[in-house]
Amino acid sequence: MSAAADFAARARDEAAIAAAAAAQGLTLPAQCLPGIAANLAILADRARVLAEALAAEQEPGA
Amino acid sequence: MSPLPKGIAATAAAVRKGQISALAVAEATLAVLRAGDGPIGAVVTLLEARARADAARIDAALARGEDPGPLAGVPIGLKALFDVAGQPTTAGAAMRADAPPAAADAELLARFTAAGAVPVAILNMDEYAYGFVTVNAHYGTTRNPRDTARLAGGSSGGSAAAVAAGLLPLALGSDTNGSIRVPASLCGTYGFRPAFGSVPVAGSFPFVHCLDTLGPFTASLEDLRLAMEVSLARPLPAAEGALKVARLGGWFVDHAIDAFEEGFAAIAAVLGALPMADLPKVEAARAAAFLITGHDGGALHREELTRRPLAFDPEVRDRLLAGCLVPDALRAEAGAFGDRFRASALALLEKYDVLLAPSVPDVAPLIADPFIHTGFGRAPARANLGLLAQPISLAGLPVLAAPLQRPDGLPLGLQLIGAPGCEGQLFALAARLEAAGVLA
Repeated sequence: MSAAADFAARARDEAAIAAAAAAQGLTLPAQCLPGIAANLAILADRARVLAEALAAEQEPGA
Repeated sequence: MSPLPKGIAATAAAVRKGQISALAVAEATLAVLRAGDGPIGAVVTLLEARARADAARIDAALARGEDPGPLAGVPIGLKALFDVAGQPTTAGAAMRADAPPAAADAELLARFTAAGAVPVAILNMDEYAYGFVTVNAHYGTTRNPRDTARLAGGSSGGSAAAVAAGLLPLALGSDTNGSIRVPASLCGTYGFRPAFGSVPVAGSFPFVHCLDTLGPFTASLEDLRLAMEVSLARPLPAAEGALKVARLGGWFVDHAIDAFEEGFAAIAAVLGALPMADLPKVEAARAAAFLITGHDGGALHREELTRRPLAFDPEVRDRLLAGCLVPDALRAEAGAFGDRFRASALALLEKYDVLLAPSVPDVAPLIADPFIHTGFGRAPARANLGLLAQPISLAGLPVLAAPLQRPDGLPLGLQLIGAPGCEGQLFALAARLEAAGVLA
């Protein structure tokens, strides 16, 4: 699985978000969480599009 | 007070001939900015002392019989991310208002002042250039001079609006994902996103190192050519022979409103034909640019996001924090995809000299209802105004942004896209379309 596909699948998972933030030493203020979630949803969609293009490049004849 | 000549070329000519002093131009421009900016909100800081001192130097040089350069006495505005000696470089962030003053001008600004331009104002932008709207929580919203109920676009909205309103003949902005092309289109000005790496960015506040470019806004094509010759520090040779021109299809057709069709029909009539060209994987290119921007923008501001997140503009902060969570491995995939996309774009530009596409999907949205029409339907302006500009950024290509002639409608802009080093061909085509009345 590409990193793009993995991110697309996990970016809406609150526990995964918290873990990724903690790993970077980032504290996410409570009032920022809805905005961060909304932006992560957009990034996840972009990652899905990229993952599809990367998968298509791997198809025979691509 | 002497009336101001219109445009860069006319102003510089009048100053060089002694028909008006550079100081008189500077004073008149400052007066215009003080009187006219209120409803627009383009100006953050007037550089009154700097403008007077620089203008006096130009007049003194003329009095000694020296030529101050091709932009003698031309007033210039700077997006707030340019270093201006003696001023803090805020990049539109209130948290940087007390940053140490810049020791020197940005390298690109220095090219303009060496050519005789006079800095007169620092202009509004989205905080840290992360936006397409110039709605800034701290410095206010820049309004579109064509309809002040509408957005000017961004992130170089102050630069585009000041030129579109006739407050300034020349302004500099930056374009990472479309921040020159989007506001130029919405406000109806000319603009230029240089090929990546062709114009120096030293002394400007960065956003995404692998995508950042700096370029000018002007009210006319003639002025844009002059500004780009100064930016590139070389003349732009006239293109020789017939140009091979195509319109980008697919994504660039699907996500633009029907009003563009009239413009493309007029272009086809001028050129005799306008074939459709296919640039593959544009949607993925836009996605890759979006992910690179999130990752690199987040990384750039991670320390401040950790230290004082609530000092950011909330809209920008939440985008940056989300960007911090884009994994390095995904960033690497997006970057590698970008390299392949650039190669495919350059291959297409071996077949054609100039590729045409709309700069934005729609006209300027209302400030009170910031949505635009796209192929996806009604979509939020903030995230989608760059839909058609962002993929071209990933390819690193030079783009001339030009306003279509639309006397009865809100402005719509085109991208004239070429290969790096072939900027003269973009100007040649634009001149032909301007002469035919297709461009404003």
